Parts: sequence; C-alpha cells; structure tokens
Amino acid sequence: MAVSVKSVIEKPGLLPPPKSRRVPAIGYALWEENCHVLDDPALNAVEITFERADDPLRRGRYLGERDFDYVSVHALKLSPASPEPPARVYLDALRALAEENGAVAVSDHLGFTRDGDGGVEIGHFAPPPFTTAALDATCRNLDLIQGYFRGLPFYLENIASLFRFRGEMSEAEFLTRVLERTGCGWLLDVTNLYANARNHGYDASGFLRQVVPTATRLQMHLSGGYFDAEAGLYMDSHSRPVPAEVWNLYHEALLLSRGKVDAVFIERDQDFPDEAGWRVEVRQARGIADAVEAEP
Amino acid sequence: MIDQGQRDRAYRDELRRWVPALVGVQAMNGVCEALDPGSSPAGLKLFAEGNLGKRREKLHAQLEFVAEAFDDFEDLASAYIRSVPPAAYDTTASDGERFLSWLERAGALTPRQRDYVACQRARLGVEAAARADRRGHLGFQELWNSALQRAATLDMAPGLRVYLNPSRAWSQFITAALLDDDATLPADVLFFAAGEAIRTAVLEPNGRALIEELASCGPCTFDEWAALSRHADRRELVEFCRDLAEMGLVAFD
Repeated sequence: MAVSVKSVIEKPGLLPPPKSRRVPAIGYALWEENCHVLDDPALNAVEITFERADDPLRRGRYLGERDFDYVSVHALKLSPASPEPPARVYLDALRALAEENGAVAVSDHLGFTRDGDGGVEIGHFAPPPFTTAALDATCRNLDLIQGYFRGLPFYLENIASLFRFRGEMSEAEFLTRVLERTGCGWLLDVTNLYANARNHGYDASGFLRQVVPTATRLQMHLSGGYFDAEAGLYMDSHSRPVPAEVWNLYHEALLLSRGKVDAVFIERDQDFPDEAGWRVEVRQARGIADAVEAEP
Repeated sequence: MIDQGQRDRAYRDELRRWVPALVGVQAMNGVCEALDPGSSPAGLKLFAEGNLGKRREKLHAQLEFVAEAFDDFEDLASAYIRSVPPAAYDTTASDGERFLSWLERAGALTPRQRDYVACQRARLGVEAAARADRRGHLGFQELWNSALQRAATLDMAPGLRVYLNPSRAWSQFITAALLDDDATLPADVLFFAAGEAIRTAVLEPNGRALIEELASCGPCTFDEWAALSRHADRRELVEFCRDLAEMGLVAFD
C-alpha cells in the first residue's frame, strides 16, 4: 500500500499564511435580513453560521448564485475546550456546507458547549478554566479539527464571558499558548475583547499586544451590545451598532496585525437596522481597513 | 506529581459537575465554588438563564403547531426545559422530538393532542430522513422535476425505474382534528418532502400496502414492480404511480 510521506509528517493546521492579501476581505455574518445589501461595493466576504444554514430540506446552495471573494463557515458546537473531540458527523456536516458554498475557512469559539462525557449540550459556549488541563484538551481537539479540515484554515474565536472559572493563567496567556501549540488562526472578536476587558477589568490593548504577535493569520468580528446597569456587565448582544470604542479597538488591532488579517465580519443578530444602517457599518469597516493599509 | 491522565480525568469531572448548572437544570452551588474570585455568581446566573431562554424560544418556534392543542403548553415546556438537559449536538429538531416523547410520558394526552404530537413527530421524521441521507434526498428531488412527464409515458416505457421518495415518515391519526370531517379513522398519513416543503397524503390500506411494497423492492423498474405486486394490477399501478408522481412521492429514471 502506498503511503504519502508528506501526509504522515505534516503537522495539522500549520498552513502557510496567505501571500497576496493585504487588505482584509470584509462583509457580514449572513442573515436573510442583510441579503439585500450584499451587493455593496464595500463588501466582498460573508460568514455562514452553520446552525442557521443547516436546513435538511434545503435543495440548493445556501449562498444561491452569489459569489464572494471570501466565504467562511462559522460553527457553534465544535466545543474545542471539551475533554472529548467533536463528533465526526458534525465535522462532516460542516465540511459539506463549506464545500457546497466554496468556503475557504472554518471557525468556532474558544469554549466548551458540552459536558465531560459529551452527553449534554449547554446551548452557548462557556469559558474554559484557564488551566493546563483545559489547555491540553483544547490543543488536542484543535489538532484533530485542523487535521480534519486540512486545506481549510481554522480560526479560534475569543469569547465574551459573563463569568470566569479559577485558573492558572490569564486568558491572553491561555490563548497565546493555544495559538503557539496548534498554529491555528485567531478569530479576534473585537467586541468580545472589549466586553471582557470591561467586565473583568483588564486592558484590551495589552491583550492585543500580547496575543497578536503569535497569531499567524486572523479573522475579526465586530458587533454592538449594551451595558446592563443592573448586572453591571456589558452584554455582547449583537443587537446594536458597533460602538465607537470597538471601532477604535478595531483600528488598533488592524495596525498591530497588518498583513495577517484575512477577513472581517460584522455580526448583527437582532434589532436589525434599515438598509442605510447595514451599509454604513460595512463601509466604515472597509474605510478603516483601507486607511490602515495606507498608513506608513 | 499529577500525570496527564489524572489531569484529563479531573478536567472531565469538573465539566461533568458544572454543565447541569450551566444549562439551568441543577443548582449552581458547585459551580459558584469554582468561580474566579473576581467573578460574581450573578454573571453565572445570567448565563444559565440565557441558555434556558434561548432553548425555550427555539422550542416554541418549532412546536408552535403542537402548542395549539394544549392549554398549558407554556408550563409544560418550562417543566421540560428545567428537568431535561439538551443532548450533545442537539439541533432544535431533536430537542423538539425529545420534548414530544417527554409529553407522551408526562401524562395522558387527549386523542386530539395525540394526533397533534403524531403529526409534529412525522414532520420531524421527514427532516431527520433528509438529514440522514442528504444525497438521496437531493437526488430524488432532482428526479422529481421530470416525474410528471415520465409518468405520462409509463405504459409505453415500462423499463422506467421507479424511485420512492426517501424523505418520508408514516403517521396514524385517530381523530379527524387534522383531517377532513368524512375521513375514515384511524387514518394512515404519509408525510414527505416535496421541494423544500413537507406534504401529506392520506392513504387507504391498499395504498399503504403498495407504498410499502415499493419501499421493500425498489428502486425497481415499473415492469418488475407490476410483476410482483400483490395489491394492484398493471393498469391500476400506472394510475397509482401517476398520482404519486404528481404529489412528489415517486420519481422515475
């Protein structure tokens, strides 16, 4: 039996960084509500959330006849920080959707959505404890995930959390070590970073300066939430326009990661804006990216 | 010195203890003890309540139809959500399916409620079949585009291969709540995917027998089916096939 030496020795996930793209592809996480602005000249990318696209009776391609420079599939249930690896059937379904729609990347969140036995689903990702045990489990799962999606770069998203478990290291250190050990991309959710910095009392810029140098490739998320005065927490609700503080942090992140950002997606899941509202944000994201690129 | 195996087991145990509280089906004491000193249990509570709320919303959206048959649907859904955690990789459909089973176990359903549950379960069954065999589902739907033209030539082209829609689920209704008033009860109802919708066909016993005959021998040529059929002669089978093709239950190649 012939064995490909390359496929045996190749480290999963260590894909070379893209060579030619300097200005990131920019677009929206896709909803029926924003389909009418996908023709905007500022937009050349979309993100497909698997759980929204997963309609068993759908006949055609989820994206229909539309084509984009960059399509990414965003998953919610790979649960990289679980002790158990993700189920093959879920990986297969993700890949099928990616292939059907010409996606060039896959992403999910740095958290766990299942229990230790893989029997119970939480529904939303919980932050892992920043411990060596969670780090080992996360890296093991990411190696497996990247090995499975070989050829489709995988990006791990930093999540917004309303609480944190006791740990042995900071979130920035945990994430840096994950990126170092697995070589996976970082889906920098700028709003999640802003929310965590505000809710847990750390410096978002410092976080960026610590993690960005380790990331070989990035995607970014932008969205808007609100401050819940009663809870004393910023809620990452994806229900408001991107706030000024997040635009500023986005600008800073682009400067720090110039040449490494593949795509930027704006997320809006509820209280949808009108057409002008949709267009203004994608144009702002594009404008800032172009300005950063033009800076010396 | 803790080895890797012990560390992995300890981590697994932690998550096993925490998750029931994170989904809101267990008290939070154990999880609160594991929180970082800078984190408040209020954030944890918000997280668990958010999970419960989203799950309730999804169940309601999916089972709106079943809710019509219950005066206390809200209470039942809340009791279910508080007592049964969602299963790993749960789609809304599978949580809905488990809720229907829970409803059946939880108390005596009226005959009308039973029919609503059976109807919803059959719809979910069609979706599950399409999900389990997506290639078969898409292949059949593609063939169905030309089914009517081919059905018209059945008596001249008996070598046509007959395919039964793979995305289908049987149900039986014991009341006329979801049927015409003059329906014979109990009624066998076949749910199936047609395009991106789900259709139903109420079949008499002979019709059901023919469908099951095709399910067990197909896909086969029309000639082969006609030769082995114990429930219809050739002429009746041609007519039956044409009706099924029009509905979206058979296609030809």
